[in-house]
Amino acid sequence: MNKLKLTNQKKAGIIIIICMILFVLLGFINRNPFDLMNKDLILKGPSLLHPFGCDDFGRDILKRTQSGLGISVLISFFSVFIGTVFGTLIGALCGYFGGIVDDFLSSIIDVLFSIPSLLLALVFVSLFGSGIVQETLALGIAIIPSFSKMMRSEFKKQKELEYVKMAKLIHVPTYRILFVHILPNVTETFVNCIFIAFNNCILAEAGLSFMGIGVKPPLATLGTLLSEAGGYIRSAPYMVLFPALTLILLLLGFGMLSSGESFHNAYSKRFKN
Amino acid sequence: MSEKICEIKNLTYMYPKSDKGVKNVNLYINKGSVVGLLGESGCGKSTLAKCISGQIKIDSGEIICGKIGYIFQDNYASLNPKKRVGWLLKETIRYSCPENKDKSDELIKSILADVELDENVLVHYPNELSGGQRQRIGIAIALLSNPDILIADEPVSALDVTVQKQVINLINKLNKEKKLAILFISHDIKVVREICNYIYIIKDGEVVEEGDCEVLFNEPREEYTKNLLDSSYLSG
Repeated sequence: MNKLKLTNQKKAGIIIIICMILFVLLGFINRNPFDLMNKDLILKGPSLLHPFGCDDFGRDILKRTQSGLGISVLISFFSVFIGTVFGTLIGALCGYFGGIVDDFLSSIIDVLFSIPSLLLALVFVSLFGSGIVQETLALGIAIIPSFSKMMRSEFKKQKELEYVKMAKLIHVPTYRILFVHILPNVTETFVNCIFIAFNNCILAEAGLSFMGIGVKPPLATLGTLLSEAGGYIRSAPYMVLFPALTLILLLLGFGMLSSGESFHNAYSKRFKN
Repeated sequence: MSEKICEIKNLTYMYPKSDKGVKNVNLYINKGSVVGLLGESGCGKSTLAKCISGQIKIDSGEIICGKIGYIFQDNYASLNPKKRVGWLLKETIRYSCPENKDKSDELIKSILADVELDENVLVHYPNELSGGQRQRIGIAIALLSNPDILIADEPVSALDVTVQKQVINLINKLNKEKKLAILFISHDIKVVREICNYIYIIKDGEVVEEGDCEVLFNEPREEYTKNLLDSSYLSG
């Protein structure tokens, strides 16, 4: 049987992501509550019982990193979902219809696009307040402009191709042309956009949490852990090291997935072989 | 007298900010006839076909046509590369002749037989088929909508000579067996002479001469037509 041909970079990315997921799932085996404080363990270094050490409240950093990573990924996942759905919808409408629809929606997107995503997310967080749901919404909305711009250019390109004209000639409804005929032909850009957006979301979420406007304590994300560890960078470097390493590996994993040869090409090769 | 299946009256379409397009074109196509549109590249043949099929909104004129099936020039670009042939044919039935949706499998079998293709092409993607097979799929899609007239926009120009012959034979067969009217567009004079009964010569978007195929080839009136035919003899 033919197998999907992936580049080594993509394979490495998939392995890293799977390891990250396993790392989060292992957190369910770790019975220490993520917010259990123990004064005897305050700033205790890595040991067999607490491999990542303990923080300034005596909480297990391994458990907090696992739960923090889970929350960060969850927020990013739903943010990317919001950004993907609305970004694709707006981009598809702008690119396919052009004219007034494009002018109107694109001018709104252009205004939002001119503001950096993190700043945009900050504005939305200050509007909606802080919390997991609010942060997810804010990040999701912040992704929409870049996503819709990418999708707009792809749909604009595709609508001129003859298979779309053929679909029009056989009276396929417009919504079906957009999402059943054209969308599968832009998967290359679509999937890469998702991975890049996911990376940006993880970073933006960490940034918001680092500034203290992300999720509320006692919940923690990777950004919160880094923020909390900031004062102990000399006395307890492991407090920074492990959450930072986790964040870097996660970003590296998604970065590797979005770079190099696309999944589409790898998929096509499978058929050619 | 044969029944007119398509009539174009004073059709004009000019591309925006350009002097290119089609000007004041009048033509008709009888049931069961093969009408050729002949002219050099860029003279407006495809534009006229797009106007007739509704792909381009015309500036003025009148188009009175039955149901149209359209065969594209580029058989590779006209088939969705991400969909299997079976899916493409079913999609055509679903939207082009929804009344036959329930018997789509039988319809597909009979259409594939008409275009002389094996049923195993259904599971393939367009890029896995040869140029000739793809063009036959394009013809099958055009036929599925049960058209009164088939517009073939340079259907053989992207194919090699042997496959060209096969596709021309197929179009001839469809014309004879199904009494299908065909508007055949080409810049290849030999192909047009082989397949068409009646010919319109187009120059700069205007019909400069028309007539029965053999009459026009043997006794061309216009200088442009003479030059066009001479160029074909020169090229062998």
